[in-house]
Amino acid sequence: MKKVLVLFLLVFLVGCSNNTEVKEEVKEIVETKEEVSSINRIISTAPSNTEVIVGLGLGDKIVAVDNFSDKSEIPHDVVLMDMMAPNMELIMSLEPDVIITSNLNSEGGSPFDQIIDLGYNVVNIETANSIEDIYSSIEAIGIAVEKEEESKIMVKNLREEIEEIREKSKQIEERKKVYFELGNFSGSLYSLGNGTYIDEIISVVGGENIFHEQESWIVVSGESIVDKDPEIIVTSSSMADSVAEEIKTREGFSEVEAIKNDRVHVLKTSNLSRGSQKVIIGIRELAEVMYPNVYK
Amino acid sequence: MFINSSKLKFIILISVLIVVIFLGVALGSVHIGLRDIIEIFKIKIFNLDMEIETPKYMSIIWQLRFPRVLVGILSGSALAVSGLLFQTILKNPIASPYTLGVSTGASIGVAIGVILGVSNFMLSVLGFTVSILVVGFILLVASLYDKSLSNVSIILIGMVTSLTLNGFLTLLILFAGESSGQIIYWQMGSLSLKTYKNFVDLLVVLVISVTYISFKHVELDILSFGEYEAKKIGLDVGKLKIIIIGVATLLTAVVVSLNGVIGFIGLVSPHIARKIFGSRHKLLIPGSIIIGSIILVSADMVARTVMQPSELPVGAITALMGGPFFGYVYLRKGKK
Repeated sequence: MKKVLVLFLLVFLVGCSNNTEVKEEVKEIVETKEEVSSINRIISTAPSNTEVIVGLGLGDKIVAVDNFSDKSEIPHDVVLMDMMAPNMELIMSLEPDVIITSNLNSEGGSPFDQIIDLGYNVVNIETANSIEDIYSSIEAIGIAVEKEEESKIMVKNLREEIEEIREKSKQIEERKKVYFELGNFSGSLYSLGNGTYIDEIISVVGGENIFHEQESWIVVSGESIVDKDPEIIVTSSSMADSVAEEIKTREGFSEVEAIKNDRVHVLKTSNLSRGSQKVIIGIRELAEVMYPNVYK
Repeated sequence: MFINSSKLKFIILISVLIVVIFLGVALGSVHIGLRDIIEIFKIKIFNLDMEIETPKYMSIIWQLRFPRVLVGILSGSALAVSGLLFQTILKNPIASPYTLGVSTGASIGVAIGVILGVSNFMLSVLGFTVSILVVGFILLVASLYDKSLSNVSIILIGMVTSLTLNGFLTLLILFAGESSGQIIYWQMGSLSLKTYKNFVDLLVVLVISVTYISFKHVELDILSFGEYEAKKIGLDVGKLKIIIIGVATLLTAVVVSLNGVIGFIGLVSPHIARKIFGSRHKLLIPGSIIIGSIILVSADMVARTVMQPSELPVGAITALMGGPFFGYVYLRKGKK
């Protein structure tokens, strides 16, 4: 759409002037625009990578994505694939210029090995474990899709926004103890420790993750949550009301500070769970629910 | 063994169970001193109007740990009895509560629930319903195909149905997208966050089922000698089979829909009970119940303490402990 608009404007300009020199110049611009990138067909295999690619303005160049990626911002129909078991024939028939994979897809021998052996351009992005990792993933994708400048700007903006929040968090005198629940899977409570960027984000906005001394993604016991007595409980779900209610009425949790003070918050967006430039939306939401006085 | 009186054996087993329950309450992912625990129980049992030093320990012991141990006792019992019934009815030593696809059925119910995004309570309801439907379907097909309802037919149709449904389950997990983790977690089984209400629900089902089964212990004995003998005596084998499979399925379905899939207890407990008590169901039923409780409560204790404050899925622990143990029990029997 944008391209059509640019062309239209250019033609309009050309139409206005009778100068042949201008005409030549415009022709040149149009031609170089066409050749500016050799990346025209992209396959993305992870939601966070897809968001970055779309953010770099290449949504229209994506030809296939994994089942979990957000398709709403891709302006045309794309092929959906199960990236745990990618269909090689389909991938080849799509003639991708680059395939952006994530290490989510490569547990013990990547299913893309075959494609790499065939000489396809496969760029693997490690899942982000820290905020710095998110920055470097964005830059790596930028290089892979030949949008290096844009990706650097994207990282710069993101960094500024995050640092701004970090700066504001210094006003907070008493850092609150936070329990971040990723999910209650029929009693198995899923949370996170250090070595995850969400743990880092909790600290950036001025909180303290009660399971910080644990590593990575973990299943925690109800007992240890009650023992650590968090002042704020945060979770994220599409079913906000019922989830909050379930936590508040959870057997044995009534003495927990967060429950006593009605500080159970359900994040409405899933942006925090994706290591892309959109993580900032999740960070802001987290900051606002945790310290409304400071951030709102 | 020098002990021959079964009464003495029961006394020993019950003592072991009491020790295990005691340890189950005393140990957990949060360390709480014995004195505090005794204090808490005193306050709760005698309804004293007293405060303890650390009020949060009250919640941990009384609302999180104790109900969990209680649910563990009943779930272990139910799985063990269910396993015993399946092994007797199908005259198959490797039959377990899951032979007829109860776990696959429940998993499918839960998977559908997860995809629809229902609450944890509704997940249990769906799991229970689908598992009962699956076993009902198997029995229906088996009885249409084979009027005498032979074990081979039941097991074969059960296997075929299970395999087919497993394929369906794999597809559901795929469709579940990001929620697939929830289905997989559920399948591993956990006693986390169980309540007194869960305990009472289980208790009602268990008491009714076991009482009923106890009246049938002679029939079960006869059946374990062989169907031919049973028929000769005039037992309506087909009807008995359907009723007993129904009861066994009900027991397992309740446990599985509440806790997820906890394996091996239903397979191992009856074998241990047979080693200790011989083959009479009058003793095998209570024996399996106690052994099943001991195994599940101790497995759960391991699950929540070895990697504290993190928890392991209890289903993985029962399999890790149960597998080698079963091999030992069974191979030793072969040597004789």
